[in-house]
This record gives sequence, C-alpha cells and structure tokens, in this order.
Amino acid sequence: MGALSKLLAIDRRIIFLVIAGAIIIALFLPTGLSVAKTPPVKSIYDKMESLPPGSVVLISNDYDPSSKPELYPMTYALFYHCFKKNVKFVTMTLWPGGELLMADVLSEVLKEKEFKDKKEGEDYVFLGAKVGASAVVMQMGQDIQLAFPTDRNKKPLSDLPLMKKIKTLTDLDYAVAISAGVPGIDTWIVYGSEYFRKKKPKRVELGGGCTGVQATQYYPYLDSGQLNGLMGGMKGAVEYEAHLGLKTKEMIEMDAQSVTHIIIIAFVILGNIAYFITRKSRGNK
Amino acid sequence: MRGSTVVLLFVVGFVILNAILLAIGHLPFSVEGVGIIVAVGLTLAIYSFLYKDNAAFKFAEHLYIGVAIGYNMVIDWHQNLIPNLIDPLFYSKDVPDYTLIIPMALGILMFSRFIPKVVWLSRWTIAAIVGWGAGVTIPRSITENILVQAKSSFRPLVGPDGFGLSNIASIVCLVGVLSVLFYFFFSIEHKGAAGKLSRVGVWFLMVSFGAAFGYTVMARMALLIGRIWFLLADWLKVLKV
Repeated sequence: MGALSKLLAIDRRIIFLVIAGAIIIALFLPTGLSVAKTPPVKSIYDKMESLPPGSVVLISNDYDPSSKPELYPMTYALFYHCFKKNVKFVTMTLWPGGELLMADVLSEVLKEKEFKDKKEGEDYVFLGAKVGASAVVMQMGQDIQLAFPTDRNKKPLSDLPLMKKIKTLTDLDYAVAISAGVPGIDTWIVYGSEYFRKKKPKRVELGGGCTGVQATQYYPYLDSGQLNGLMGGMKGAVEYEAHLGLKTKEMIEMDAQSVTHIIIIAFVILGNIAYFITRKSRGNK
Repeated sequence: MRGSTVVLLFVVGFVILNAILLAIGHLPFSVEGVGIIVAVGLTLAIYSFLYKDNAAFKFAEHLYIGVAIGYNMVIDWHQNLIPNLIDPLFYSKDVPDYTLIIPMALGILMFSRFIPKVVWLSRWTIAAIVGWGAGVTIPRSITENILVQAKSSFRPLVGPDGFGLSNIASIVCLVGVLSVLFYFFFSIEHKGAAGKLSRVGVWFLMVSFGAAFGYTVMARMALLIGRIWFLLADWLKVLKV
C-alpha cells in the first residue's frame, strides 16, 4: 500500500514535469497520428465549399492573443479557404486586443504565392475592432456602415467595391464567429439571428469556432440549427486544416496534445485505482 | 537557497543566454529580437509559478494587468470615443450631433463615484445601462436561448419510417431534458420514483461536467503546447515545421 499511498500524495510538480517532458519529446518526434474528422467541422467546410465564387462571408474573430494557439489556426484556415475558393470575406473583431493579431493572420495568408493578387477592398475587407458587443452586432444588422464607417485603414466603406452590395448582415452568404468568450458566438446568435433570418429564401447560416473550454456549451446550438457547424479548440482547427490539405505546425502540436491526453488519462486511472484500493484498506483498519 | 537568490540567478542566466543568442546571430538584433526575448522572459516568469509563488511571477502578473488595461483604454479612446463622440460633436464638418450630449453627460456622471457626496449621480448612468441592456437582451435571449432551444428539443421519438437508430438520440435527449429539469425541481421531495428520476438527472449532469472538463484539459494543454512551441521554435530555433 506504501507505493499507492505515495502515488496519491505525489508532488504536483512531478506531474507538470512529466507533461512538459512529454510535450517536448512529442514535438521533436511527431508520430503523425491521423486526425479524425467530425461532422460539426465538416459542416463548416462543406458550407464554404458550396459557396459560389464571389459570395461574401463574414468572419468575426472575437479573441485576443491569450487564445492564439487554439483560434489563430481557425482564422488562418478560413481566410485561406476563402481566398482559395475565390469567396470574398469581411473580417472584424469585437475584441480590441485582437485587432493586431487579425492583421498578423491576414498578412500571413497573403504571403502565400497563390494569393498575391488578392486586393483589399475587393477580395476582402478588414473592418478592424469595435467595442460594444451587442450594440455593434445590432447596428451591423441595420447598416454595417453605422457600426464601421471606415475600414481599418480609415477608408470609408462606401468607397470599397466589396461593400457596395453588403449593406447589412442580411446581405451576407455565410457568417462564422470565432470566439474565446463574451462577446463572441453567443453575441452573434442572440443579437445577430434576427437579421440572419431575414434573408430569403434561406437564412444566413452561422458557423462557430471556439476554445476547447467553451465547446460543450455550444453543442446545443448545433442541434437547434442556430449554428451550422462548430470547430472546438485546437482539434477543431486541425480538422479544418486537414480538410484543406494544409501541413502546419498545428498538426505536430496535435500529436503532442494526444500524448498529453494519454498521460492525463493514465494519471486519472492510476489515481482512482490507488484511491479505491487504499480506501478499502483504510476501511478494514 | 532563498527564493530571491534563485530568481536573481535565473535572471542573470537568462540575460547571459540571450546575449549569446544575439551575439551568434541566432536572434536578430532588432525590435523583433527584443520582442521575442521579452516574451520568453515573461513566459518563463509566469510558468515559474508552477514551482512556487515568487517575485518574477508577481512582476509578470502585474505587468500583464497594467499593459492590458492601458492597451484597452487607448483602443477605447481611439476607436470608440473619438469616432463616436468627440469627432461628431466637436469636429463635425456638418451640423454637430447634439443628441450625443446626453450619453456624454451620462458617461461623465460615472466619475461621480470618486466623490462620496454626489456618488448617487452615477446611479442615473447605471439605470440607463441596465434599462437599455434589459430591454435589448431579455426578448432576444429568451427567443434564442429558451424558445428556439425548447423547440429543437421537441422531436418525434419515432420517425416516418418507423423506429431506427437515429431515434435513440431523440430518446436520450428527452430523458436527459426531463430528468435534469426534474433534478432542479425542488417542490417535492426526491424519494421513490421521483428520486430515481432525479438520480438519472445527476448522471446526465455528471456526463456533461466530464465532457466540459475534458475539453478544458484539451484547451489548457493547447495553450501550454503553443508556449512550448514558441520557446523551442521562435526563441531557441531548434524546431520548425
């Protein structure tokens, strides 16, 4: 029983070291585990694939650098997909701290040789950041120029070719909210849905991307159709990248993620076995 | 060895290591290079808490809070107050929008919180915010979070082609909704059949907590992996895609 009791009282710093060591080894020696593709992520991918060239998608990136490892790859993959499909997009953030990060993703995607000819204002519009959450979404439902009179470069929206046909949220063909909290997906569902529903014959569908912590709270919205798809955490992002056939560092990171999960599961099982065995012996005494 | 000595030795070691990395050209001697060094230093300072609480962690924590607040204030000033209030009211090329005086006055009243004698004035602003918030949020929230959700819960238990595997999910959903709702129904004692039903509700809740915890672990690990990648790839440059 001595070893089991010691296991129960193990110094948490040893667990931290084991996890850190496993991550470092997994990053250096990636195993290339396959990424299982799930229906919620495929729904977003399929929707994007179904859009004809020239369609316009809104991508709201409502997060800041603290969620970068999970959400940045989602934004990258969506921008990449839009450019690849010749689908135009309008992007923005409800989180002021995320604006520079969005600019960074955009410049990263534009570095791809095949996208060199993409023009700001025609192929994409970066509205920038705006605080106000619900008020911003409702203003955009009535008139996007009310919420964003200019884009991030201070150019009036009325001068941008892409915005000539996109006046309100109802004019969009698809929308995706990638969020790390509030404001985020909830805000777009609660305050944006009434405008998305106005589109005829079929509402503007909304896709979601969120951190792993939030994922379970959004599954009910999938079932009800308020979200047409959901990317949860780094796993969701890597799935989307796998659909696109991208080879990114997140694929390697996902290997490390799988290894840490196995270690944590092993610790949970060992801890429970030790707990129940020692409890029995304590009861006998 | 005292904690402060450990921190001092760590800082000295960190400075020497970065000086070497800069000297051998491993890190660029530029704003980007300095940015990476600062980010690495702060990352290590924050993670040092895993060993134990220390001065480096406290410094990084306070710095983060200060920078975050300062950054948000500046962004708010430039992206909210200037374009939405100051420009249209004071520097408008057309007729100034005088209706903005009302929200401006309400905003200024919030500063009465600093003067105990007139602190009650801030309640007007809070009342306006609460009133607007409730009026805007309640109907939309009820529609999207309750009515639409309830509607999607009402599903036929047997499909037009008879009972199939797809109908099992509907039955699980029905049992889950009813048992969890019953668990939170406290007007009768949970005994006998009622007790068993609420017990089923507890199991459904446990499964949902487990799923949420699993996702939380995944999220935290993703953040840790992201930071370790940064240290190994961007700083030490021993990893690449």
